[in-house]
Formats: sequence, structure tokens, C-alpha cells
Amino acid sequence: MRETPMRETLRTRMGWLHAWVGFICGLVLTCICATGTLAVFDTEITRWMQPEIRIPTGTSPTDTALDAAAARVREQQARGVFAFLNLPSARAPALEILHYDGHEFVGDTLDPRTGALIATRATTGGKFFYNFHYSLRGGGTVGVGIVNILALGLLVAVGAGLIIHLRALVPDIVMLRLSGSRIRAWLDAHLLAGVLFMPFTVMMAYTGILVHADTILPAHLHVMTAPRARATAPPAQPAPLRPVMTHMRPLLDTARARLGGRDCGFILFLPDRLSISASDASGPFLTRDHVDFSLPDGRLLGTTVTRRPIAMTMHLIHGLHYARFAPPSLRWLYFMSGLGATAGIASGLVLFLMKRRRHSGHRAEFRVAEGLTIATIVGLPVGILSFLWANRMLPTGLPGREGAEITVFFFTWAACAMHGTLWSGIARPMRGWREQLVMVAVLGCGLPVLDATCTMAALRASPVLHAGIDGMAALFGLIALYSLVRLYREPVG
Amino acid sequence: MIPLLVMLWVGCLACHAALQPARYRLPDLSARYRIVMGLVRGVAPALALGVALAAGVVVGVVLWCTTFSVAGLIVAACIVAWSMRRH
Repeated sequence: MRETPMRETLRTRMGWLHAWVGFICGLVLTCICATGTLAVFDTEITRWMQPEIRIPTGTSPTDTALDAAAARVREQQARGVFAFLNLPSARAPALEILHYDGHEFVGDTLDPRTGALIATRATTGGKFFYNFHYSLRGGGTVGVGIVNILALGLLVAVGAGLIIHLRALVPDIVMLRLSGSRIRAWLDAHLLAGVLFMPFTVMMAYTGILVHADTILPAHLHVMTAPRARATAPPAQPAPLRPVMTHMRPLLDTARARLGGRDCGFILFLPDRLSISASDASGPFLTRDHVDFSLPDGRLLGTTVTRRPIAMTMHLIHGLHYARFAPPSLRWLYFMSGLGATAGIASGLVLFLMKRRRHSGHRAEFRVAEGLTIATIVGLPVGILSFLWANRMLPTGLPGREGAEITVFFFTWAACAMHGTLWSGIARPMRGWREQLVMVAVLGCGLPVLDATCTMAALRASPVLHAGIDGMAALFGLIALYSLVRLYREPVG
Repeated sequence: MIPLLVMLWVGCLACHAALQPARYRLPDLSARYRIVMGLVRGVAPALALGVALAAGVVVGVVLWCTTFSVAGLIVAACIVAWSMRRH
């Protein structure tokens, strides 16, 4: 009996911690989780956003195409672009000559059968979601650091939530009472999503933190503080680029054999040698094992395979987080778990507001918080769907097209944030929720129609891909429609 | 493999709910059924883990956890649908 007050105090304190850390971090974490969930299918979204590529999956590159691609890489390098060659895979059937533009890997797409350049519309594709997920798009090292700190906040909120709910954790594991009060139903939904998807949430948060741990715990601090003696030294002359005189096919066959039968993922063309790396899809350990060949003759230089325990642990952490090894079925499970984790955080935001509406609903801070919550939960899907609509609506030859798509995304999202905050500010937040839900419903349900109208040929060439993305958009539109109907039917709580 | 894992987890979680009829507002079970359901609840996750590990240790554990989450949602939805129909 003596332990009761102490336990209650702990639970109360954990309740405070869970609510405030969860809400403050949750506003951004919802966006990070949602874009991370979309990034599970980043390659597929990029293919959807480039309907000009109609290469059947499983097309293996011909010798001519490989050699043409190698020559094109060298040509770009001679112009000062640090390009590399990405080989076709089960998910992306085209040959790609990519370089990093400060945000994503972008570049030319080649037909793996002929090596001819495919004229595609300029788009960042699904890589935009990937970039936003880990750096908040353009945040650089600071953005990555913020995401990492927020992920730590997520782990704190999960830990506190676990302590609060510990007694009912196992017995209530599949509890969902929609017939009770609204707050009870939201609490059950939050607990259901939070508990069922907790293993996945914790795994992704933990591995995500470790992937970029150096941004919050720099291991080479002395490098930053040491005097810059070398900075005054004259820059070294870049080594001359040696031509690629050899054919690619035998090198790929050798590399594959040396990598234990694993598929090859990409080829780096260094000035005096080329390096063929194992595909990220070849297993859960995301390694950078590679085979080096000298240039111009293509003589085998050696194989680099990492097998040290710490390195292997980090490879596993990277592999689990990026999920590039996952076949389509497991990829869908990742996607659904990501949605579940996002729903868990988003429902927590709604609960936070519901619990405080009666006592603090009149306060300016509360209204701002509700406006931001509207922008996060409903405004973000509006922005994402606008991004996909912009891909079909903007002219294909528009200069700076990829930037325009991103501008549409941020502009729409900012407009939603202003709209939500405005209605919340004049004490009519439900109108903000409803109007933005209408936007999600219209944009989501309209996307399959737009896709079929604009890119029928691509839809015929890859029906499964288009059905998947259009179907998900329509599904979200219908969920928004259902939520809208529920909001109209029920009194404001 | 994934449908089998989901089925095993659904079996386990459904039995878990059925073993607590008051909490989930489900009908009471006779003692004989309770024993069987207790067994299913205990054995199904172990069986699911055994099946999942056939895909490799890492992939197996990921499959085991993610199918548990999906199965939990299915069971929760079924209980909601059942109770709405009943009331």
C-alpha cells in the first residue's frame, strides 16, 4: 500500500513527459514518419513520376548499353560532374548516371537495351520524401541533427508512454472501443497504434539515430578544433582521368563472382580505376563491399569485403533502416508499419488537444497548437498530393521543373498551415479540419483520374505500379471523406 | 509465408481477447475452450517465430514483429465490428 503514492507520482510525471515531449516533437515527427513511410517506395514513386520510362522490369543491360553508359559517365566527369553509374535492379529497370546535387542523387536515365538517353521530365521523384525524411529537405547537417534529436524525443515519449500504460499493456493489446466517448475512442486508437507498432517504431527510431549518430555525437571533434595547418597548402592537382578502354560486362561478371554471387549495384569511376559495389538489395547488411579494377585495361586490383563485428553491426543497422533488401511483400509491411507509427503519433497530437480544450481552448497558445496540428495531420497530405498533381500538371519542358514541384509542395503546405491557424485563431478550428479534409478527399480521389488522363500509355506499361500509387491516393481520399462525414455528424468535442 | 504468419498472430491475439471476456465484452467461454485457447495463445507466437526464421534470422525477426502489428489491427477491427453488430 505504501508504494501506491510513489507509483502514482511516477505515472503522473511520466504522463506529463509523454504529453509534452510527445506533442512538441510529434508535430515534426508526424511529418518525418509520413515521408519516411513514403520513402519505402521512393523508387516506385520516382518511376510513377517519370512515366516516359516504360522499360519492363527485369530487363538486363546489354553490353552496348553498359559501354555507352560508361563513356557517358567519363564525359560528365571530364566536365567536372562527379557522376557514377547506377545499374538496373528489380525495382528500377533503367540505367542511371547520377550525381549528388546537394539534396538528392539526380541525373540521366538510359535505356538498358540500347544505352540511348531517355528524355524524361525533370523531377526529384520519391527521393524528395527520402531527403525530407532525414534532413527536413535542405536542412543539411543541422536538419539531420534536428531529426536525430526528435528521434531521441520519440524514444523518450515511447518509454514514458510504456511506463504509463505498463499495467494494461498486455491485457489491452487489441482494445478499441469506438462506441464510448470520443476521447476514450481516440485514446484507444492511440494506444492500439502505439502498442502494436511499438517494436517497429522503436527499431526505426533507434536505427535512424545510429545511422546519423555523428551529427549529434561528433566522433572527430578534435578535427574541428585543431589548427588548420593544411588549409594553407596549395590544392593538389586532380589526377588525369584515364579512359575506359575495356568492356563493362566481363568486369561485372568478375565482380559478381568476387562478391559471392551478390548482384552489382553501382559503379564508381575514379581517375585511375573503377569500383563495382554490391547491390544494397542483396541482403539485410547494407555493405559497401566492392571490387576494384584498374583503368584503362580493366585489370583486377582487389576486393574489399568488411567482416569486422562493429562494421557488420552498423551495416545491419543501416540495412534495417533503409530496407533496401526487402522484397515487395516485406516492403508493404514496412509501409503499413510506417503508417501505423504515423497514426500513433498523429492520434497522440489530437488527444493532447482534446484533453486541454476545455481548460485552455481559449488561449492563444492552444489555438496556435491546434493550427499547427491541422497543418501537420491534414495539411501535409494536401501538400504531398499537390506534389503528385504538380508532376502531372506542370509542362514537361518547364525549366527548373523539379524545383517547381517542390515549391508547389511547400507553398500548399504553408497555405494549409495559415488556413488552419486562421480558423483555429478565430475559435473555429473544426472548419479548418473540414476544409482541409475536403482538399485531401478531392486531391486523393482525383489522382487516379488525372493519372489515367495524362499518362495512359505508362499506365498500360506498368499497371501494377500505377494501381498501387493511384490506389493509395484514392484510399487516403476516401479515409478523408469518411473522417469528414464523422466530423459533420458528431458534435465538436 | 506472410499470410501464414498473420494467421498465426490473429489466432493468438483472438484467443488472447477471448480469454478476457469481461474486458473485451465478449461472451464467456467454457473451461474446455479456455484451455484450448490458452494453448493457442502460447503456441502460435512460437510457431510463427519458427516459420519466420526460415527466411533468415534478421528478416525473420522483422517479419515476426511486423505481422504481429498487422494481425493486432485485424483482431481489433474484428472485435469492433462484432460488438457493433451485437449492440
